[in-house]
Amino acid sequence: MKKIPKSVWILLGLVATIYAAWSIAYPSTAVRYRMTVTLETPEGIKTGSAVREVAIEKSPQFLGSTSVGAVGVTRGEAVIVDLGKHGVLFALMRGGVGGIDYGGYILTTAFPSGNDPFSREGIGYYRSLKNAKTTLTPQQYPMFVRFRDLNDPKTVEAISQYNDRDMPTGYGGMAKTAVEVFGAGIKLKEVTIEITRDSVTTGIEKLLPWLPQTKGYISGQFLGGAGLLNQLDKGDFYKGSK
Amino acid sequence: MDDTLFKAILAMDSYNRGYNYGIDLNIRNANGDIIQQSDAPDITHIGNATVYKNLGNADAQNIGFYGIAYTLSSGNVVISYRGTDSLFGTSTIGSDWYNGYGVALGHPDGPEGAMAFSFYNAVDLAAADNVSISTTGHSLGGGLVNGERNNSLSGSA
Repeated sequence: MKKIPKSVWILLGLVATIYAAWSIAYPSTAVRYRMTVTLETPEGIKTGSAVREVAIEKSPQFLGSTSVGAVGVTRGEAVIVDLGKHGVLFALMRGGVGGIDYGGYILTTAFPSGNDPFSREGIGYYRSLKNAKTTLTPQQYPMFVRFRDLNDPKTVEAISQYNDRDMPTGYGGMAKTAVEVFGAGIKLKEVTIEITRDSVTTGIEKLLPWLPQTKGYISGQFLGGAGLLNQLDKGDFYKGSK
Repeated sequence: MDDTLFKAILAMDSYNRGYNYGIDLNIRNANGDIIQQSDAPDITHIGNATVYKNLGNADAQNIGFYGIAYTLSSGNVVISYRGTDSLFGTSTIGSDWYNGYGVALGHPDGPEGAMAFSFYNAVDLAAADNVSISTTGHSLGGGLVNGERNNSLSGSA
Protein backbone atom coordinates (compact mmCIF):
# COMPACT_ATOMS: atom_id res chain seq x y z
CA MET A 1 0.00 0.00 0.00
CA LYS A 2 1.28 3.43 -0.90
CA LYS A 3 2.21 5.54 2.10
CA ILE A 4 0.32 8.82 2.52
CA PRO A 5 2.84 11.69 2.48
CA LYS A 6 3.44 13.52 5.75
CA SER A 7 2.44 16.84 4.12
CA VAL A 8 -1.08 15.47 3.47
CA TRP A 9 -1.45 14.51 7.15
CA ILE A 10 -0.32 17.99 8.18
CA LEU A 11 -2.81 19.58 5.80
CA LEU A 12 -5.65 17.36 7.06
CA GLY A 13 -4.72 18.17 10.65
CA LEU A 14 -4.70 21.88 9.86
CA VAL A 15 -8.15 21.69 8.24
CA ALA A 16 -9.53 19.71 11.20
CA THR A 17 -8.06 22.22 13.66
CA ILE A 18 -9.51 25.20 11.80
CA TYR A 19 -12.90 23.46 11.58
CA ALA A 20 -12.88 22.68 15.32
CA ALA A 21 -11.83 26.22 16.24
CA TRP A 22 -14.51 27.69 13.95
CA SER A 23 -17.19 25.43 15.49
CA ILE A 24 -16.20 26.55 18.99
CA ALA A 25 -16.05 30.26 18.09
CA TYR A 26 -19.24 30.22 16.02
CA PRO A 27 -21.53 27.51 17.39
CA SER A 28 -24.77 26.51 15.72
CA THR A 29 -27.60 24.06 16.17
CA ALA A 30 -30.71 22.81 14.40
CA VAL A 31 -33.99 22.44 16.27
CA ARG A 32 -37.34 21.14 15.06
CA TYR A 33 -40.67 22.34 16.33
CA ARG A 34 -44.26 21.49 15.59
CA MET A 35 -46.75 24.33 15.37
CA THR A 36 -50.37 23.31 15.85
CA VAL A 37 -53.30 25.62 15.07
CA THR A 38 -56.76 24.81 16.45
CA LEU A 39 -60.08 26.37 15.48
CA GLU A 40 -63.66 25.88 16.69
CA THR A 41 -66.18 25.29 13.92
CA PRO A 42 -69.87 24.36 13.89
CA GLU A 43 -68.72 20.87 12.87
CA GLY A 44 -66.35 20.60 15.82
CA ILE A 45 -62.68 21.22 16.54
CA LYS A 46 -60.35 21.42 13.50
CA THR A 47 -56.57 21.32 13.79
CA GLY A 48 -53.58 21.45 11.53
CA SER A 49 -49.87 21.28 12.26
CA ALA A 50 -46.49 21.54 10.57
CA VAL A 51 -42.97 20.58 11.62
CA ARG A 52 -40.21 23.06 10.79
CA GLU A 53 -36.46 22.89 11.22
CA VAL A 54 -34.76 26.01 12.52
CA ALA A 55 -31.05 26.84 12.44
CA ILE A 56 -29.63 29.03 15.21
CA GLU A 57 -26.16 30.29 14.36
CA LYS A 58 -23.65 32.75 15.74
CA SER A 59 -22.12 34.79 12.91
CA PRO A 60 -18.58 36.13 12.53
CA GLN A 61 -18.40 39.92 12.41
CA PHE A 62 -15.62 40.58 9.91
CA LEU A 63 -15.33 43.36 7.33
CA GLY A 64 -18.25 45.33 8.77
CA SER A 65 -20.64 42.39 8.83
CA THR A 66 -23.46 43.62 11.08
CA SER A 67 -25.26 40.42 12.00
CA VAL A 68 -24.30 38.81 15.33
CA GLY A 69 -26.27 35.70 14.51
CA ALA A 70 -29.26 34.37 12.69
CA VAL A 71 -32.23 32.20 13.47
CA GLY A 72 -34.29 30.98 10.57
CA VAL A 73 -36.30 28.11 9.15
CA THR A 74 -34.21 25.96 6.84
CA ARG A 75 -37.00 23.50 5.99
CA GLY A 76 -40.69 23.58 6.71
CA GLU A 77 -44.06 24.90 5.68
CA ALA A 78 -47.05 27.01 6.67
CA VAL A 79 -49.57 25.23 8.88
CA ILE A 80 -52.63 24.13 6.90
CA VAL A 81 -56.01 23.78 8.64
CA ASP A 82 -58.71 22.22 6.48
CA LEU A 83 -62.04 23.69 7.55
CA GLY A 84 -64.04 21.54 5.14
CA LYS A 85 -66.78 23.44 3.34
CA HIS A 86 -65.61 26.71 4.94
CA GLY A 87 -62.21 26.70 3.23
CA VAL A 88 -58.57 26.33 4.23
CA LEU A 89 -56.60 28.44 6.70
CA PHE A 90 -52.83 28.92 6.33
CA ALA A 91 -50.63 29.98 9.26
CA LEU A 92 -47.61 31.55 7.55
CA MET A 93 -43.93 31.71 8.51
CA ARG A 94 -44.45 35.47 8.97
CA GLY A 95 -46.07 37.24 11.89
CA GLY A 96 -45.98 39.51 14.88
CA VAL A 97 -42.70 38.10 16.21
CA GLY A 98 -39.81 38.99 13.92
CA GLY A 99 -42.05 39.97 10.99
CA ILE A 100 -40.75 38.22 7.87
CA ASP A 101 -38.34 36.13 10.06
CA TYR A 102 -41.21 34.83 12.24
CA GLY A 103 -40.64 31.12 11.54
CA GLY A 104 -37.29 31.24 13.34
CA TYR A 105 -37.87 33.91 15.96
CA ILE A 106 -41.06 32.32 17.29
CA LEU A 107 -38.88 29.46 18.58
CA THR A 108 -36.56 31.73 20.59
CA THR A 109 -39.53 33.83 21.75
CA ALA A 110 -41.70 30.90 22.82
CA PHE A 111 -38.77 29.25 24.58
CA PRO A 112 -36.53 32.09 25.82
CA SER A 113 -33.07 30.90 26.82
CA GLY A 114 -32.40 33.66 29.33
CA ASN A 115 -29.15 34.37 27.45
CA ASP A 116 -28.26 35.83 24.11
CA PRO A 117 -29.69 33.08 21.84
CA PHE A 118 -26.53 33.21 19.70
CA SER A 119 -24.14 32.79 22.64
CA ARG A 120 -22.63 29.38 23.47
CA GLU A 121 -25.00 29.16 26.45
CA GLY A 122 -28.01 30.17 24.38
CA ILE A 123 -27.28 27.66 21.63
CA GLY A 124 -26.57 25.02 24.27
CA TYR A 125 -30.00 25.67 25.75
CA TYR A 126 -31.73 25.07 22.41
CA ARG A 127 -29.66 21.92 21.83
CA SER A 128 -30.88 20.58 25.16
CA LEU A 129 -34.60 21.38 24.67
CA LYS A 130 -36.63 18.19 24.50
CA ASN A 131 -40.41 17.75 24.38
CA ALA A 132 -41.00 21.32 25.55
CA LYS A 133 -44.44 22.70 24.67
CA THR A 134 -46.15 26.04 25.12
CA THR A 135 -49.28 27.88 24.05
CA LEU A 136 -48.73 31.14 22.20
CA THR A 137 -50.40 34.42 23.09
CA PRO A 138 -52.35 36.12 20.26
CA GLN A 139 -49.52 38.67 19.97
CA GLN A 140 -47.24 35.74 19.14
CA TYR A 141 -49.54 34.20 16.55
CA PRO A 142 -48.41 33.86 12.94
CA MET A 143 -50.10 35.73 10.12
CA PHE A 144 -53.18 33.82 8.98
CA VAL A 145 -54.43 33.90 5.40
CA ARG A 146 -56.82 32.07 3.16
CA PHE A 147 -57.39 31.97 -0.61
CA ARG A 148 -60.96 32.37 -1.84
CA ASP A 149 -59.77 30.25 -4.75
CA LEU A 150 -56.80 27.98 -3.94
CA ASN A 151 -55.76 28.10 -7.59
CA ASP A 152 -55.53 31.89 -7.67
CA PRO A 153 -52.94 33.57 -5.42
CA LYS A 154 -54.54 36.95 -6.08
CA THR A 155 -57.55 35.91 -3.98
CA VAL A 156 -55.51 35.96 -0.75
CA GLU A 157 -57.15 37.46 2.35
CA ALA A 158 -55.64 38.07 5.78
CA ILE A 159 -57.38 36.85 8.94
CA SER A 160 -57.09 38.63 12.29
CA GLN A 161 -55.36 36.85 15.16
CA TYR A 162 -58.21 38.05 17.37
CA ASN A 163 -61.76 36.69 17.25
CA ASP A 164 -63.35 39.94 18.39
CA ARG A 165 -61.72 42.54 16.16
CA ASP A 166 -60.18 43.25 12.80
CA MET A 167 -56.46 44.07 12.78
CA PRO A 168 -54.15 45.90 10.34
CA THR A 169 -52.25 43.55 8.04
CA GLY A 170 -49.15 45.70 8.46
CA TYR A 171 -49.09 46.45 4.72
CA GLY A 172 -52.20 48.64 4.51
CA GLY A 173 -55.67 47.13 4.65
CA MET A 174 -57.27 45.11 7.41
CA ALA A 175 -57.28 41.46 8.42
CA LYS A 176 -60.86 40.37 9.17
CA THR A 177 -61.96 38.00 11.91
CA ALA A 178 -62.33 34.27 11.25
CA VAL A 179 -66.12 34.64 11.53
CA GLU A 180 -66.18 37.36 8.87
CA VAL A 181 -63.95 35.36 6.53
CA PHE A 182 -65.10 31.76 7.06
CA GLY A 183 -68.61 32.17 8.49
CA ALA A 184 -70.57 31.98 11.74
CA GLY A 185 -69.26 29.78 14.53
CA ILE A 186 -65.63 29.70 13.37
CA LYS A 187 -63.11 30.95 15.91
CA LEU A 188 -59.39 30.64 16.55
CA LYS A 189 -58.96 28.53 19.69
CA GLU A 190 -55.22 28.20 20.24
CA VAL A 191 -51.79 27.94 18.68
CA THR A 192 -49.17 25.73 20.33
CA ILE A 193 -45.53 25.06 19.62
CA GLU A 194 -43.59 22.04 20.79
CA ILE A 195 -40.09 20.69 20.28
CA THR A 196 -40.07 17.48 18.27
CA ARG A 197 -37.88 15.06 16.35
CA ASP A 198 -40.64 14.27 13.84
CA SER A 199 -40.02 14.58 10.11
CA VAL A 200 -40.23 18.03 8.58
CA THR A 201 -43.59 18.68 6.91
CA THR A 202 -43.72 18.75 3.11
CA GLY A 203 -46.38 18.74 0.42
CA ILE A 204 -47.98 22.21 0.48
CA GLU A 205 -47.58 22.41 -3.29
CA LYS A 206 -50.28 19.75 -3.66
CA LEU A 207 -52.76 22.28 -2.30
CA LEU A 208 -51.14 25.35 -3.91
CA PRO A 209 -49.76 24.02 -7.21
CA TRP A 210 -48.76 27.49 -8.43
CA LEU A 211 -46.43 28.07 -5.47
CA PRO A 212 -43.14 26.45 -6.63
CA GLN A 213 -43.33 28.28 -9.98
CA THR A 214 -43.89 31.67 -8.34
CA LYS A 215 -41.23 34.23 -9.20
CA GLY A 216 -40.93 37.31 -7.03
CA TYR A 217 -44.07 37.94 -4.98
CA ILE A 218 -47.33 36.00 -5.15
CA SER A 219 -48.81 38.87 -7.16
CA GLY A 220 -46.36 37.83 -9.88
CA GLN A 221 -44.46 41.11 -9.48
CA PHE A 222 -40.66 41.16 -9.25
CA LEU A 223 -40.78 44.20 -6.93
CA GLY A 224 -42.32 44.24 -3.47
CA GLY A 225 -45.00 46.92 -3.57
CA ALA A 226 -48.00 48.16 -1.62
CA GLY A 227 -50.50 45.71 -0.19
CA LEU A 228 -50.31 42.18 1.19
CA LEU A 229 -50.45 40.54 -2.24
CA ASN A 230 -47.27 42.38 -3.25
CA GLN A 231 -45.40 41.42 -0.05
CA LEU A 232 -46.14 37.72 0.45
CA ASP A 233 -43.82 35.33 -1.36
CA LYS A 234 -43.20 31.60 -1.46
CA GLY A 235 -40.87 31.91 1.54
CA ASP A 236 -43.92 32.59 3.70
CA PHE A 237 -45.36 29.23 2.68
CA TYR A 238 -42.33 26.96 2.50
CA LYS A 239 -38.59 26.89 3.02
CA GLY A 240 -36.26 24.38 1.46
CA SER A 241 -36.28 22.92 -2.00
CA LYS A 242 -39.37 21.79 -3.94
CA MET B 1 -31.13 68.40 5.44
CA ASP B 2 -28.17 68.09 3.14
CA ASP B 3 -28.94 65.69 0.29
CA THR B 4 -25.72 63.68 0.74
CA LEU B 5 -26.29 63.31 4.49
CA PHE B 6 -29.86 62.14 3.94
CA LYS B 7 -28.68 59.55 1.41
CA ALA B 8 -26.14 58.34 3.98
CA ILE B 9 -29.01 57.91 6.46
CA LEU B 10 -31.00 55.96 3.87
CA ALA B 11 -27.92 53.81 3.20
CA MET B 12 -27.91 52.77 6.88
CA ASP B 13 -31.72 52.53 7.03
CA SER B 14 -31.69 49.53 4.68
CA TYR B 15 -30.03 47.42 7.43
CA ASN B 16 -33.05 47.93 9.69
CA ARG B 17 -35.90 46.94 7.39
CA GLY B 18 -37.10 43.72 5.84
CA TYR B 19 -35.49 40.39 6.76
CA ASN B 20 -32.61 39.99 9.24
CA TYR B 21 -33.05 43.58 10.41
CA GLY B 22 -30.63 45.17 12.88
CA ILE B 23 -33.14 47.37 14.71
CA ASP B 24 -36.81 46.42 14.99
CA LEU B 25 -38.62 49.25 13.18
CA ASN B 26 -41.92 47.39 12.93
CA ILE B 27 -44.61 49.64 14.41
CA ARG B 28 -46.64 48.04 17.19
CA ASN B 29 -49.72 49.01 19.15
CA ALA B 30 -49.84 49.10 22.96
CA ASN B 31 -50.70 45.40 22.91
CA GLY B 32 -47.48 44.52 21.08
CA ASP B 33 -49.16 43.59 17.79
CA ILE B 34 -47.39 44.69 14.60
CA ILE B 35 -49.67 47.21 12.92
CA GLN B 36 -47.17 48.29 10.28
CA GLN B 37 -44.27 46.28 8.89
CA SER B 38 -40.91 48.06 8.82
CA ASP B 39 -40.71 48.31 5.03
CA ALA B 40 -44.38 48.45 4.02
CA PRO B 41 -44.53 50.48 0.78
CA ASP B 42 -46.56 53.70 0.60
CA ILE B 43 -47.21 53.89 4.36
CA THR B 44 -43.68 53.81 5.86
CA HIS B 45 -41.89 57.14 6.28
CA ILE B 46 -38.41 58.27 7.24
CA GLY B 47 -37.91 62.04 7.22
CA ASN B 48 -39.47 63.32 4.03
CA ALA B 49 -39.03 59.94 2.30
CA THR B 50 -41.68 57.26 1.88
CA VAL B 51 -40.94 53.61 1.16
CA TYR B 52 -41.83 53.02 -2.48
CA LYS B 53 -40.70 49.45 -3.31
CA ASN B 54 -38.62 46.74 -1.65
CA LEU B 55 -36.94 43.47 -2.51
CA GLY B 56 -36.27 41.05 0.33
CA ASN B 57 -38.19 37.91 -0.61
CA ALA B 58 -36.96 34.30 -0.46
CA ASP B 59 -34.97 34.64 -3.69
CA ALA B 60 -33.23 37.75 -2.37
CA GLN B 61 -32.52 36.14 1.02
CA ASN B 62 -30.95 33.14 -0.70
CA ILE B 63 -28.23 35.40 -2.10
CA GLY B 64 -28.08 37.85 0.83
CA PHE B 65 -29.55 40.78 -1.09
CA TYR B 66 -31.87 43.47 0.25
CA GLY B 67 -32.89 46.62 -1.60
CA ILE B 68 -35.37 49.34 -0.78
CA ALA B 69 -36.55 52.36 -2.79
CA TYR B 70 -37.88 55.58 -1.29
CA THR B 71 -39.84 58.42 -2.83
CA LEU B 72 -38.74 61.88 -1.70
CA SER B 73 -41.11 64.82 -1.26
CA SER B 74 -39.74 66.13 -4.59
CA GLY B 75 -41.10 62.99 -6.24
CA ASN B 76 -37.63 61.70 -7.03
CA VAL B 77 -36.59 58.19 -6.00
CA VAL B 78 -33.58 56.98 -3.98
CA ILE B 79 -32.64 53.30 -4.02
CA SER B 80 -30.66 51.99 -1.02
CA TYR B 81 -28.76 48.70 -1.12
CA ARG B 82 -27.97 46.91 2.13
CA GLY B 83 -24.31 46.09 2.63
CA THR B 84 -22.67 43.19 4.39
CA ASP B 85 -24.90 41.81 7.12
CA SER B 86 -23.84 38.19 6.84
CA LEU B 87 -20.33 37.78 5.47
CA PHE B 88 -20.21 34.00 5.18
CA GLY B 89 -23.97 33.50 5.17
CA THR B 90 -26.03 31.21 7.36
CA SER B 91 -28.28 28.25 6.73
CA THR B 92 -31.00 30.69 5.67
CA ILE B 93 -29.22 33.76 4.34
CA GLY B 94 -26.81 33.79 1.42
CA SER B 95 -23.17 34.79 1.90
CA ASP B 96 -22.39 38.39 1.00
CA TRP B 97 -18.78 37.43 0.40
CA TYR B 98 -19.71 34.73 -2.10
CA ASN B 99 -22.62 36.49 -3.81
CA GLY B 100 -21.55 40.13 -3.67
CA TYR B 101 -17.87 40.80 -3.21
CA GLY B 102 -17.14 40.26 -6.88
CA VAL B 103 -18.07 43.93 -7.37
CA ALA B 104 -14.83 44.85 -5.59
CA LEU B 105 -12.87 42.76 -8.08
CA GLY B 106 -14.43 44.19 -11.20
CA HIS B 107 -17.19 41.60 -11.57
CA PRO B 108 -20.49 43.41 -10.90
CA ASP B 109 -22.48 40.64 -12.59
CA GLY B 110 -22.46 38.25 -9.60
CA PRO B 111 -25.80 37.28 -7.95
CA GLU B 112 -26.13 40.40 -5.75
CA GLY B 113 -24.84 42.74 -8.44
CA ALA B 114 -27.27 41.27 -10.98
CA MET B 115 -30.20 41.54 -8.56
CA ALA B 116 -29.25 45.14 -7.70
CA PHE B 117 -29.28 45.97 -11.39
CA SER B 118 -32.63 44.19 -11.90
CA PHE B 119 -34.05 46.05 -8.90
CA TYR B 120 -32.92 49.38 -10.34
CA ASN B 121 -34.42 48.59 -13.72
CA ALA B 122 -37.73 47.44 -12.21
CA VAL B 123 -37.99 50.60 -10.10
CA ASP B 124 -37.13 52.69 -13.16
CA LEU B 125 -39.85 50.92 -15.12
CA ALA B 126 -42.42 51.45 -12.35
CA ALA B 127 -41.59 55.14 -11.80
CA ALA B 128 -42.96 57.99 -13.91
CA ASP B 129 -40.82 59.14 -16.84
CA ASN B 130 -39.90 62.51 -15.30
CA VAL B 131 -38.67 61.01 -12.01
CA SER B 132 -34.95 61.09 -11.25
CA ILE B 133 -33.57 57.89 -9.65
CA SER B 134 -30.38 57.84 -7.60
CA THR B 135 -28.75 55.11 -5.55
CA THR B 136 -26.99 54.88 -2.20
CA GLY B 137 -25.39 52.19 -0.08
CA HIS B 138 -22.92 51.46 2.69
CA SER B 139 -20.10 48.89 2.55
CA LEU B 140 -21.09 46.21 0.03
CA GLY B 141 -24.16 48.38 -0.71
CA GLY B 142 -21.75 51.09 -1.84
CA GLY B 143 -19.99 48.51 -3.99
CA LEU B 144 -23.30 47.67 -5.66
CA VAL B 145 -23.84 51.39 -6.30
CA ASN B 146 -20.38 51.68 -7.83
CA GLY B 147 -21.10 48.65 -9.97
CA GLU B 148 -24.08 50.53 -11.34
CA ARG B 149 -22.18 53.81 -11.74
CA ASN B 150 -19.95 51.93 -14.13
CA ASN B 151 -23.13 51.45 -16.13
CA SER B 152 -23.73 55.24 -16.08
CA LEU B 153 -26.36 55.19 -13.31
CA SER B 154 -26.07 57.88 -10.61
CA GLY B 155 -25.29 56.98 -7.02
CA SER B 156 -23.60 57.67 -3.67
CA ALA B 157 -21.40 55.15 -1.92
